[in-house]
Amino acid sequence: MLTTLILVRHGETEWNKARRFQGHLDSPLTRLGLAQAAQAAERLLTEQVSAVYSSDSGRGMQTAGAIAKKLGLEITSDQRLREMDVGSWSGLNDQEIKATHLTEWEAWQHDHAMARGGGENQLQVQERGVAALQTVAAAHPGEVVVVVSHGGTIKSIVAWVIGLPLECWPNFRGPGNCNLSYLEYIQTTQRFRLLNYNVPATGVMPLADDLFNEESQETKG
Amino acid sequence: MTTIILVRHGTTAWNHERRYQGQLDIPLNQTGEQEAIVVAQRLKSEKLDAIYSSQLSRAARTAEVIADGLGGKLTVKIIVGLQEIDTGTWSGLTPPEAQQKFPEQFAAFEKDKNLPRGGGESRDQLQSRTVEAIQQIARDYPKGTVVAVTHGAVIKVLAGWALQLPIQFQPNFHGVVNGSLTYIEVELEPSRTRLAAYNLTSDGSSPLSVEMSEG
Repeated sequence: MLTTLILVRHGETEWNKARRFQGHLDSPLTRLGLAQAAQAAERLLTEQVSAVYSSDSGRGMQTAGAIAKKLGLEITSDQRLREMDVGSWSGLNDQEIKATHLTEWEAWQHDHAMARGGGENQLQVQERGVAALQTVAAAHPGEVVVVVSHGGTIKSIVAWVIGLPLECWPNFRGPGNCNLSYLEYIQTTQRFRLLNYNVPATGVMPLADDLFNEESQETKG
Repeated sequence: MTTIILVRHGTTAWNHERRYQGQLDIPLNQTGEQEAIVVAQRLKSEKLDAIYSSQLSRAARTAEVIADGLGGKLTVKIIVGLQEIDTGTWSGLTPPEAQQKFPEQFAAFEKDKNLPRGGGESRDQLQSRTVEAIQQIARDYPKGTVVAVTHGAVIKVLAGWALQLPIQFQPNFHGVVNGSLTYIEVELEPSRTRLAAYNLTSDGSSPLSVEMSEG
């Protein structure tokens, strides 16, 4: 039996726009973010979705709320779907972090896998994110389920599915706001497969001028 | 940095019958012609510098329809290195036919997907020749956005290469659908690659509604 999990990143927030790290702190969706959530909901109407799960962070719940309302479903929140915890970096932008955490900032430029601000590292996020994924997959055999989460968390889950070693993570672009990634779970073999990655709900292609320079943006929420 | 949009060719009669095509030259069917038109519409939002294609007619025709749909300003450049994986004596067969005709080879391939099929190419071999083709494109357009119309097995190994994903993990990827778009980013000096998006349906429709086929 085949279960489909559709991972959705939350819509654009005030702090995404201001390029501030969010981590376990939160900021509300912008007007664009709300429009993105509405578009994702519209797109998901075409799937036979039977359940909606979400990170319990406000921006996740706000996005999941738009989707669940459109689909006539309830939301199950799970804190294991939260963004990476970036501790004392939360709420700050690059300049503010350089001013207050310079040594750590410089170390992070060479080691993107390290924990920041006393928070979590990438493997810790992956471990809890995958645990949440497995719970959802086991609870909905043969169904299509929406899971609303965050850029860093979705990337870490998909990296686990495809078996991507940590040193290769910089080769994998994080998902755009409200973009969808489809996973397939085969109950008999208990294996996941990646079907599609970073599908724009809006129909706009995921292109930017200099993508390599936006790497740090992903963990901002 | 070069952004390369890998487009899988439109549907052929053999895709529909689920036959291995390999390097046999099977033309687009009517569905395939339509898919190519839809891909062209989708690509209108991108600022493209070039269109490349495998020489096999299912790809080259898809590329021509895209070029026409984009106003005819770009001419299709053929790169033989982008052609489909060689599936040797399996070409033209369906999986059940291949299993019946070559039971030992078929069983061995099910265990190790890197083995060549029907005396054709392994995935390693496919990856090295297609990466050469991609690097040539990146040299030609070091700061550009280009389309490369190619084949299912080729797109899968190139997505794996962009991630630097070890080849044994590639079964964790579903194949890409006809007329789909996969975005990779390539920089030659210093050498960096990235996978940005995988298997986007050209008309924005649900990826779940599209049936999969080989080659």
